[in-house]
Amino acid sequence: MMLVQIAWRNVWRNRGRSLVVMMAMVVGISSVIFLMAFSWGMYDYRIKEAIEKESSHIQIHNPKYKEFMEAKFTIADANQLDQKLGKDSRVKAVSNRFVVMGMALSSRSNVPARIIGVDTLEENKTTDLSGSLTEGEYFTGTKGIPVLVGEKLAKDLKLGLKKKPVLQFQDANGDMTAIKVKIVGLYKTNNSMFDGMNVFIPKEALQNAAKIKGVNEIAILLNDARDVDDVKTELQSGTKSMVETWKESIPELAIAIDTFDKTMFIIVLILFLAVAIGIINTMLMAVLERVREIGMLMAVGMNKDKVFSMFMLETIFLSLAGAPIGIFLGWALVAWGNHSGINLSMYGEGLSSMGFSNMVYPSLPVKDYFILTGEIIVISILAALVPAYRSLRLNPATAIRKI
Amino acid sequence: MSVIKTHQLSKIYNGSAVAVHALNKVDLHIEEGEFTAIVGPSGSGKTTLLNIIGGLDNATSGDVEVAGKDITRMSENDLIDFRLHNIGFVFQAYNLIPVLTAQENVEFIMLMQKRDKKERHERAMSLLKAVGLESQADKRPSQMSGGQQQRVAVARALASRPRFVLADEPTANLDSVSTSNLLDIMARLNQEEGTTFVFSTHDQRVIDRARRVITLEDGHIVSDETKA
Repeated sequence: MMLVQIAWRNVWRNRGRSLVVMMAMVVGISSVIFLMAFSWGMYDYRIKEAIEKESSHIQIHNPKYKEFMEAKFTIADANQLDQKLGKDSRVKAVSNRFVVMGMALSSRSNVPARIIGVDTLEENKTTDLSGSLTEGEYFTGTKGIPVLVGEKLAKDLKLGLKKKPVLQFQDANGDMTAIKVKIVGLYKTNNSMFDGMNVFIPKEALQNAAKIKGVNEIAILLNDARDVDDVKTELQSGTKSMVETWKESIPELAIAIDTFDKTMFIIVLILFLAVAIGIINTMLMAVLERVREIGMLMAVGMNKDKVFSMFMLETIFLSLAGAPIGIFLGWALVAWGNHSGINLSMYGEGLSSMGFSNMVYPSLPVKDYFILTGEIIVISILAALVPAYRSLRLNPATAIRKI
Repeated sequence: MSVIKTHQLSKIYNGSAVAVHALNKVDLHIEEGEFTAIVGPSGSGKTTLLNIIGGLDNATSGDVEVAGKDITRMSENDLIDFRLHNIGFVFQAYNLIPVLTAQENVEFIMLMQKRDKKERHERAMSLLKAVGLESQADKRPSQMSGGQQQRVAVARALASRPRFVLADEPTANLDSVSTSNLLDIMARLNQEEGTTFVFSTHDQRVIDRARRVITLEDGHIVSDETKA
């Protein structure tokens, strides 16, 4: 117990120096927490958006459709799958789609387009498309074939609401076909790339024009994201169609998240390394300053285990004294950011092109605070080893006489 | 009964160019209850002799028997334990633990001996009383004078109930009043409690109070006088 007391009091022998180390810990830890929360908030929103507006949790395709991207490769067992999904309580909504790749043409511009034939009711339950509308109405009150286009696509086509572009694509025979449609609504998501190429159209109209029956994409939204892998496995076991989770159907997002995780790991490592080096440096100075005292302790009968433990404790105390404040400050910064949001509209265009929102709400799962605390403890112990080991190498007879 | 015995004790420091014989075949017996000063000019081997009989340094050759045990053959850990239970140390620069109070400094040794709290407290207070510092028990070393710190160091040296106390130039940093006080205390403890004291010193005031004076020169004992 006295060892603990001595170690703790030793931390405060050089108050100024210890406070500097503590400050470094506070700044380092709170920065790490905020950085992680900021990035997590950004990606969490992007993932949520990608799932809710774009891919849903799970998608089913004909394997050949994924390979050749041709509309004729429809899902053979779509009806059975639809029935099965309708009975599954984990499934929130299902959208059976017929998708073709083609061009959107106006008198002034041509733009590549992904034309998505949807059941308008089903689609809205799955992607809340009507919630993204900025102008017009959701497939209602029109003559002709109504479509919803992204604001960006409309801008690229130099068209507005109620205008009539032409959609051109290959039919079942491989012949080019075209239909004249009417823009009844403009939508906007946080992903300008998505808005720049997706056109939503009633499914029957598209199927008739393409002379293809059936659907080639089933999008499934779940009640709980944690069921993704289980539902995927169960579905896959009963079908020859290709079942993919959102990570597989939007691989670029999964890669981006993976890259981001690795980058974060390196940043956190560098920050912690800098803090650890600061601690080691301070404690090595403490050992060098107290050579005579260490010599005396050994001379009067303090064994090496106790000397080692004393410096370990001292370093750990020094490290951990700042940690709770750093964690609290980090948590407070995250809470503030989460409440008021961080406006990044000055980078809005760049962020939007990657699917990120202009407003970031930092958040960090509670488990990450515990992981971080564990990491700090491990780093403190590792940092403590160097000065503690250094103290053991002293010879009491010479150390006592050291001036 | 001899508490310290050396036989043909030698210590050679191998410097970069020349080997230095700090001790040269020293034969020495110190009996229980002695109040002995080891004197000699700088470099005569006083501190080396104290370090070796205190188990802080190794001899190059010869034997050292302390409290009936040959300490030259002990492992490092055994030697640390031996020092803890058998030898009290008083250093020239006091070397108290700066973050502990006077009482805690005295208790510290007993804590390492795993004595219970009540015994630690009672003995620490009784020793501080014996060195006249009962009222300073709660003060840290930085709040005490050099003489007071050295008296705490004496109390600490005695706390473990050692077989003998080795004091390396204990008065070197003290003024005459503090020196006189310290010597009075050590002499009283020696006479009343039979504690064996061995000093290395240059200080004539210590030499005058010692009952036995051993003079070293160039690593040899050149005189060994016991006063009547």
